[in-house]
Amino acid sequence: MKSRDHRRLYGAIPAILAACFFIYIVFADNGLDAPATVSLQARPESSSGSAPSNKPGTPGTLPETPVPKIEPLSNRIVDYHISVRLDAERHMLHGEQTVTWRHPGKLPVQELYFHLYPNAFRDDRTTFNRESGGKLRDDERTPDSIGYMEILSITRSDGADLLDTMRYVQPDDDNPADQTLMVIKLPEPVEPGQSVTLNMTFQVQLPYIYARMGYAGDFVMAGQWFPKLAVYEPKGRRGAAQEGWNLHQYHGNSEFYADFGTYNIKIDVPSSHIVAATGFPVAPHKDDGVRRLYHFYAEDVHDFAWAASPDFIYAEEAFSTPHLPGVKIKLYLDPHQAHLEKRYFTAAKRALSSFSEWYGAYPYSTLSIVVPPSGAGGAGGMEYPTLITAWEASEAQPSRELERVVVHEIGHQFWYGIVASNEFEEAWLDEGFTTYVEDKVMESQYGLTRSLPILSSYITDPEPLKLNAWDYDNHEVYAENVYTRASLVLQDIEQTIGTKKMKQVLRTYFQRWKFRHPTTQDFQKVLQDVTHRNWDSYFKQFVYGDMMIDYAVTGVKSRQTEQHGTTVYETRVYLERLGGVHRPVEVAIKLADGSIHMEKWNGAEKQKELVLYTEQPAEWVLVDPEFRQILENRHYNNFMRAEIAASDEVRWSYGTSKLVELLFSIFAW
Amino acid sequence: MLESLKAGLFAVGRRSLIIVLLFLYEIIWSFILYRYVHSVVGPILYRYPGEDIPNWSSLFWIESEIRLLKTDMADAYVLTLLAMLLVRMLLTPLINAGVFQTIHHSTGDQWRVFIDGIRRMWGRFLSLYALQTLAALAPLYWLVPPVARALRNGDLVSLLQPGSLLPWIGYLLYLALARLGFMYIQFAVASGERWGAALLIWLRKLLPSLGLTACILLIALFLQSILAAASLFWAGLVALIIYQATPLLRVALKIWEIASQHDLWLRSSRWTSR
Ligand SMILES: [Zn+2]
Repeated sequence: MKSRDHRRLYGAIPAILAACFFIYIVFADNGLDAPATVSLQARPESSSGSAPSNKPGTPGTLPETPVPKIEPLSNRIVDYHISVRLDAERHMLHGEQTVTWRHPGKLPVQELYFHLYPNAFRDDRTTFNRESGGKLRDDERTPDSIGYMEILSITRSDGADLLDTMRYVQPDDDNPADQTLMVIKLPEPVEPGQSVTLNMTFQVQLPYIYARMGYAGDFVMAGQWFPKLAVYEPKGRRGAAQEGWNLHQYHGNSEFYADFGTYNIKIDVPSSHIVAATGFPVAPHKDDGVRRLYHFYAEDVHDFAWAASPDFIYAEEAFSTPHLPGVKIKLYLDPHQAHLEKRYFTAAKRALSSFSEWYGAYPYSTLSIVVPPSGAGGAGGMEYPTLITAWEASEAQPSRELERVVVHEIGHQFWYGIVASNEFEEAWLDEGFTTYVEDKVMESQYGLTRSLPILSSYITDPEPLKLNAWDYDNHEVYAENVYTRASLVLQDIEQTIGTKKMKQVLRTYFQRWKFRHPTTQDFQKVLQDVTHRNWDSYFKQFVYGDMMIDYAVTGVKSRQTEQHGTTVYETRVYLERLGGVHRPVEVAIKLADGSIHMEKWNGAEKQKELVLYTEQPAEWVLVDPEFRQILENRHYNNFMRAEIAASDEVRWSYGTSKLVELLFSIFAW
Repeated sequence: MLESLKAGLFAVGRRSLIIVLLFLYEIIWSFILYRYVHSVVGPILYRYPGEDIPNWSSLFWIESEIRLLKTDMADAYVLTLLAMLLVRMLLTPLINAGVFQTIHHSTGDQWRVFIDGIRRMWGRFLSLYALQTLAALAPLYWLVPPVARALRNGDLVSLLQPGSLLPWIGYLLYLALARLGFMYIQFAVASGERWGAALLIWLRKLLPSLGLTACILLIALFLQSILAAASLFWAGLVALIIYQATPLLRVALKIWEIASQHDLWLRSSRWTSR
């Protein structure tokens, strides 16, 4: 019958019919930090009410011994002392910062670079707003979403005024309207190993929140709110051949990269406000009836965020497991979700205990969960060191997305917070890993799995995983690759090496690279070390390349013939490889008597013809019936019938053309 | 109303040449459309897994939907169909001019009257048709954005809620009304009278006019469903023959409708003008 001529057909009409007759919901709520791009649950949850999972240590993994923090965990390149005052009326922050930078390289450095992230919200000409169209996920900017940062003074610790040396730079796109990165010039260079201390005063106008930071009503989310040093990478860090600054503006699709250090932060708010923050309080807050003064300290973190609101309902719980020495979970609830306290705590405990058991102990003493109020969606689903935000509290009875986002953001604590890869240039190492481990916890703790074939079908615009975040065509393509495709690649690796080995890979990667900013190459090296095999070809195709897997049947022909005097059917099956290669392919051939004949193909050639002789003619052919090719994203061409009834062909063509004709006749003869 | 219906049927009998011409026109289009749809649908049928492997079938639907919503896969097909529609829309005012002329002039050589109508009135019918198309498409300005939004959000379920279906039913009614209104204007143009008067007559005779159309529509639906059932029953060659023959029925019914509306208009305008 017909064969090769329809191999390129992408099934338009069934899709139209699909829309009419058969509706599956594809949630398109992908986002910078949305846990999922597609969430189609394959099986219903089974363990919703079960007890939290402080599973005793599984044999074979040694419990992490709590290390007393005498030795710093990180290299502590930066040290921030900031006093900030919130003007709640004007939605402004007034800050004084003393920042010390220790030179980690070997060449003298005379220029210091700072990220001024709030300037992304200055107007519609900033790189952030140009690239994003003024929105993030589904949250769009409003007329009140204007924000900026002004540097009022910069002096060196000896009093030298540096304000006049300040310039804005735009290394990524030369957009003169973008002021998210600034450089200042020191009177003389900082020598290797030496430090420099600057005193700065600044003020921030908070935007009405649509992208991570800003205000909504009385709620304030202060993320990326202070002048923040860029990263000076010594030779060898992340494979750098030369030492130098790693400089990027604030982009529509990009998150962050910073050095570890210590943060000593005093936050002055109206006395009605409750403050949640990275780190832990040094002392109880002071309140004179008008203003309230908080004092927080955090070490071995690479950012500091805080949130404030008069409406927070505060709750805390101490938590420890054999793998987790002890952490205080601090929950800042929205009043609309006061009844959901237990769900937040349970999700946090399940995530913390699972990740600590699988990859290594959560090393900080606190974890704060902020639930933004309804209307502050832009603040939701975001990770900061030891502080995460859940979805905005718009629903009184949220779905399991409540747990999913908490698990996801806690996952970030490990890959974003502790391993700390460069999210500007290799976002997949954070979002992809986090999405993958989020799925693991949702599966083991809540019995929720997502259908991998559907997730893979969702990939319609594959791009390399290692790509500057702003080089993806748009936010959807960014999310589809950096979240979904990246997590599928990890699932594929897991399926190849086994679940136990995969845990070992991630654990080794975490342990080897915590606090050290690894690259994609470093992950590949760990994978090769643990599995004792070469992964170059795989990474070249699916990580550095934009490959998916795509096997297709392009023809099936059965004809009657004679063999040794008996009548047999000769069936020829034409197969094609349109994507990458990873593992052999199984091919199922169904015969007229209902039996299924399995064939194997190494899957490496571009084209393959299978010939088989059977007593019955073939009815259809199906490539990869068991969904072993995790990255297969065009399943429709895996299947082909040997023939279809002529009546079916006429019936469908007739019906469809009739429908079109009816539509035409409304407008024309 | 019944007289008009009868008169219209009588007129159909006397316009057999025009009906055959239009039938040929329709059958050519049907053939082109069927061949095109067949070339698209056929290969897809080879790809649909069917009930043998249900998980692959549901994946087939999901994947179709993903690709339809996320890629430009359907663009080529939609553009081809739109191009066909455009050609037909360009021919429509010419055909209208001929048809209304033959309906109005019951005497003389049908073919010559038809050609004469096109030659003399194509310009007026073209502008009328442009107006009618504009009127027909205008509501889409409000109707399409909610659908587009739902498609973008992948929220297809909300499209099938009564709240979002109701405007479309209203739209169909509006289309039918606009078409009838313009039909009366075209009667006026074909007979050289003022179209404002024709519209007034139509408004005054709105109920009988709607009744005529509804009557013929019911008969059409009845005949269509018989044919459709037959074609499903005798799939294959018989179905193909039925399929090829339905345009004849459709053309005859259309001419019947126009002729009976014309008769209604003629009676009413005679009463009012004398
Ligand atoms: Zn994330």
